[in-house]
Amino acid sequence: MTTISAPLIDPSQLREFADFLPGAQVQQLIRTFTKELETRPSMVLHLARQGDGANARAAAHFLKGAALSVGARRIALLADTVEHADDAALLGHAQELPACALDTLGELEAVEATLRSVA
Amino acid sequence: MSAPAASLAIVVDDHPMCRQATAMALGVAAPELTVVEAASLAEASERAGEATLMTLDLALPDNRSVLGVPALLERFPGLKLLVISGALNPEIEQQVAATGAHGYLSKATPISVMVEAMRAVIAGGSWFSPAVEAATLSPESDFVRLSSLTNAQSRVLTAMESGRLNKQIAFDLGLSEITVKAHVKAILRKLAVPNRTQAILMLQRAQS
Repeated sequence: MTTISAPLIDPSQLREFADFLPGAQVQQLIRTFTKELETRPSMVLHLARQGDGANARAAAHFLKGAALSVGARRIALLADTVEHADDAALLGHAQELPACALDTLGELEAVEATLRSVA
Repeated sequence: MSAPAASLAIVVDDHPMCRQATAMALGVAAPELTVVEAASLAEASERAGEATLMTLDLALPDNRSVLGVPALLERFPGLKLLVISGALNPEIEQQVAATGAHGYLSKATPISVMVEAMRAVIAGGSWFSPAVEAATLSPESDFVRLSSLTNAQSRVLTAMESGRLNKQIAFDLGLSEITVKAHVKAILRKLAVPNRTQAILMLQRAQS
């Protein structure tokens, strides 16, 4: 089990988006990231189970980039671990992604609600 | 219809969400610029000659590392290049600074800083962390050695990576076999490695 102490979401990064961008654009970013969280982690896991390490790592890299952009630090670091894992460790790390994605989705919803209440 | 020169910015990233976030930041930093998005370096290169600014992700299908940056700047000398990367390795920023790029940001950079960096680079400045600006890479580092290769030598090295023989490389690149042999010899000398395998390993380390 990978131990990553980073927060699920750094709320200040999303708050800054809300300060700088129109609400519709912030919502659009959150929606896009939500879709990413709903699809990419299971895709990484599926590819890792198929033994397709190259594409699993590429998908993990995609997830990491998106997560970093909105301050979803824990899943970004986990995706980075998957991206750089050797073949023996790849599946083990990939198996942690879906649960982390669910936790991140829950936290994202809470942060989004806070942003809406402040706006 | 192409946008007039000096009013175009190109956001290059293969992830639509990262392009979206960068384009939104650019809209705040420089609302006068027309922002176009590209998912590959080849697509971006079609408009790069007209652009004031390019933001570039380092992990594209057709540009896998910092090593593609010098050739890009050589091809488009007027372009201001801001690298925005998801790499968590701090050495990457130092490597980007050594390529002549104008700035570096992590994808985790808050939008306020991103906007400030974009404005600085558009205004002709640079944007690197102070520690990177003060530091220099060792001339013996893999990156400095690989950066010393000419474009032709880089192409030959990339072809070597796919396991091709000199004759096949010569055919693919439209060169004579003697020229390829000379390039391989120069590559091994510049990289200070005894054989092709070590040269390929060095390239793969730099790209990882």
